[in-house]
Amino acid sequence: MSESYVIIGDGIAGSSAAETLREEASDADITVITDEGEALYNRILIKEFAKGKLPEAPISIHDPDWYEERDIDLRLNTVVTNIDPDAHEIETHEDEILAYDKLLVATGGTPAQLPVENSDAEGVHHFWTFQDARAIREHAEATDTGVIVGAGLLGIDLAAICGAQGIDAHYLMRGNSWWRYALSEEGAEIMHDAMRENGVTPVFDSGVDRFEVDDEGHVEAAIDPNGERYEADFAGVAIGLDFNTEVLQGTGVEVDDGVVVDKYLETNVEDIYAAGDLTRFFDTILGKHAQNGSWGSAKEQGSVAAHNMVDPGSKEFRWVSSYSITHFDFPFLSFGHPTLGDEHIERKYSDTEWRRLAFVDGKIVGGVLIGDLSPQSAYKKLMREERVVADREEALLQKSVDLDEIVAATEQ
Amino acid sequence: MVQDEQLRVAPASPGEVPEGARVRHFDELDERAQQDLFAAVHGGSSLAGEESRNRRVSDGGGDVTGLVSGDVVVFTGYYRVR
Repeated sequence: MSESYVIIGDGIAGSSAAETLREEASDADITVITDEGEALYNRILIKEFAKGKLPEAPISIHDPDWYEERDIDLRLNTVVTNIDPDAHEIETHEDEILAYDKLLVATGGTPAQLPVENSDAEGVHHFWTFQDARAIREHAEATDTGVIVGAGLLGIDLAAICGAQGIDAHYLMRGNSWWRYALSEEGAEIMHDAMRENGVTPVFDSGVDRFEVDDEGHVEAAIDPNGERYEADFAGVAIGLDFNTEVLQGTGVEVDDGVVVDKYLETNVEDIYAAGDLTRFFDTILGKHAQNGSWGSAKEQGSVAAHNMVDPGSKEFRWVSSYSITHFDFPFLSFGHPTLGDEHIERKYSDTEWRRLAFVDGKIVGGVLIGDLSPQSAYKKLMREERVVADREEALLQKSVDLDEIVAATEQ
Repeated sequence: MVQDEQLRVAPASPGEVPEGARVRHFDELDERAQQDLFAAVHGGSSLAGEESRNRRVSDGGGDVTGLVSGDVVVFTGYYRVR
């Protein structure tokens, strides 16, 4: 009798898992269940759609035929309401019972709501799904003023959308700089300048205390904690994700700000795995549990989880992630865990070129590159090999990084 | 399959993305392909050496590890691969 695999979620993690499962278990029954109404789409391109630069067609990655050709049962618009780990069954909102031998939870997250007055008003947008992008594009094309809240990697996408759509926007940040946990003020200022050049004004030591709405319930202004009023027909909120773990309630699966999994992406409950944004996985490079929300990490997690669902304990998840920002004339790339680190080094090379590396116990755990991405591979290699290099500051911050020289020094 | 031609990138405007072209974001590329693309955009080099060209992509769009002629890549601008 063939094995039965059920995957909840058809983002890149779930889809990658389905593809790997079919490759590794040609006779298996594979079911992919998603509450969304469309199959896998390119979540990292929807910002280009929202900016008005791309049509819908290139955003789609898989159509239903892709699943049919691989004999994968795709269930759209289907919500899993219960998991019974003892019976190895799940139940859908239509009261259908599906049995599984191995289950993968790849349900991702939902944008967190800003806990302020009128945060659910019309015109206040979150940005996560293709549907969100459609609503944002339609609104952004028809409005002139906006605010953005959330000084991180998702917030800057909303800022770029406002800039591309010609919205006169204020980017309200709680601290004194953008992504202050990963960048120094010097590095962040490069990003602030780019925002200004794109018509978005960064406002520091600010945020949103409440939104004002018109008689029809549509947002018309944001009031910051200092009492400043910013007119805004459009508001973009990106203050983080709430992980979609409700379906695991009562299963015994450990949830601790994400689904806790080991280095094989297996939860503490037998035959239940998790992959993608919602995992708190054991990072074999850091030597402790960590999280990551990048596309590449989610894709790799889906594939690794699938390998282990077919052959338990066969493949560790060991990955140095990266995430880029491509909205400006210069590139930005963060890798690893740039917000961690008990030691940092950094250097500015020009008005659009800057680097920062974060270390734990002398080993690189992450970094940020602005302008010049060429050292990416060298830094990632040193991180993967867990080399103690923090005392090699000058060599690490050379314009052209001599990896062989650094490696040789660590072996002396 | 190894392609003989040298792949290069050329700036393109979003409006020039051909119907049916595969559009990929920089973050979808593997580390080597990212390095190749950065060098090609900023240094004018060919996009991929033989090693990279050997790592052909699958046609299904779900296993993107490199680039082929006709692709459009979203990086600091839009770039057409040819």
